[in-house]
Amino acid sequence: MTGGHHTTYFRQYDTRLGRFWSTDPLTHSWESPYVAMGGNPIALADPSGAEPGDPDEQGRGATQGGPEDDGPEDPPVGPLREGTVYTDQNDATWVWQRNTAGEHEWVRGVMVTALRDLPIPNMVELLLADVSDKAAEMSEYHPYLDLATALEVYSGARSLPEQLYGESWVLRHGRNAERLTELGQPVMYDEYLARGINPIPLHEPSALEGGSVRIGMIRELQSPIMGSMPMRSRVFVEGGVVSSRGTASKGASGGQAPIARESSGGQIAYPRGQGAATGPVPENYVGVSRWVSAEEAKLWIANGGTKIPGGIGAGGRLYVTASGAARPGGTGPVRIDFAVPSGVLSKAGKVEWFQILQMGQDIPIHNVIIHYPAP
Amino acid sequence: MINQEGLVKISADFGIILRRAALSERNVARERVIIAMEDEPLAESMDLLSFGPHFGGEAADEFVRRLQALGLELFDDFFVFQGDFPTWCSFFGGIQEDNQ
Repeated sequence: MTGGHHTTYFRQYDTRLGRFWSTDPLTHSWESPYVAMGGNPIALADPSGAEPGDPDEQGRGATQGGPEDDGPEDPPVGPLREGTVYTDQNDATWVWQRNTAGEHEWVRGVMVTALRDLPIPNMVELLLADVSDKAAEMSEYHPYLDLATALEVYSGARSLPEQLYGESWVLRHGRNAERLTELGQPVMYDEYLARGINPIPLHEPSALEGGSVRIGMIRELQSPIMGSMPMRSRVFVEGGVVSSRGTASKGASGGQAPIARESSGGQIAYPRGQGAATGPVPENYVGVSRWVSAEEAKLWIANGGTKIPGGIGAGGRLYVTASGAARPGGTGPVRIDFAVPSGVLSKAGKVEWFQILQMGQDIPIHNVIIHYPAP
Repeated sequence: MINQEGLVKISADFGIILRRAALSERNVARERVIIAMEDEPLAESMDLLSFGPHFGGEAADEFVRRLQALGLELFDDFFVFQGDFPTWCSFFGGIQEDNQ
């Protein structure tokens, strides 16, 4: 990735130019033989370097929805829960979520189930395209995420751009993750720094305020031959407006951001999305809190809030408090709330303290919410 | 021989026991220790300060770092007491008289 190019079977693709270095073995009279993915990397993939195509038709599963956004044609009847995902008779996916006026509405997008069982790739690119005239096309690379994990994380977010913006610009999780760059141009954050350029101003949310997100996508980067390259992609959201908080939401009315500001001036992050953080938990689960450093909080973000991260705790034990208990001395400023089976909790030094043996790490956790203090 | 009058209660949940004489030896004010430990002592005597319980090994390690930053030496001046003991058992600590 640092060389700014991908090697395919037939030729090499320059990510910074968005073009191949050599001519296309299959040329067309209507386009340059150097053009990549038909000039449309959002809709098309070109894993071999020979001929772009619809990833769906190549059996790798990209989907784009239509322009309709008035809700499903055959909406389900009965009470709906925040975050309910529904696929209508046209195979369009909808999410039931609240807008800024507090009213629920169907939001188009979040098609995330088809790629779950594919072989684990080695890199995921998250794309936002056509952010109005504020910025043309942008992408973010997550070398540490596999596609299945990314889908798990972002499907929980329900309205993905919110999660993407929040993590990219507010939390900047992942020590090796590049920031948002122009589409197809993965400029390494560390490279920027090495050149004495602070990349942060490029990604200020305010720079995109009022811009509209037309389409977003998760794209896997992997090459069976050598290096990495676009292999398959998946639309995750369509439509949205970048709000003043640097989050994107559906339509002018907006939606709820997975990262929100608290009245105290701090921030709340939802690794699995806001809906997944507020829904019901399985029977016998109880809410607990853990007070950690910002570094440990990154681990909880990175694994998508699906389980207790490895490598934390001490002496084979992980200490937590009962939900709502005061912060114990000697702990970090970031509070992570989550739910675990009550059976994994053992008594600790105070009645409101508990310890979890490390063997409990593989148990699924729920309703992960991370509270960051005010700076 | 133990100075029975100087016994203090000790927490087995990552309790930290500090030799009071070390404070004067290292020129560390008691108030600075209290601030570093974020709490008043669980118990104290003429000889010892006892803190705890603490929130696991991570919190105990943090307190050790803070006390060391004040100039106190781990083991010579203070130590961490931890173990899995039945709840009916209490622990008390004191200074050996011939060490005073």
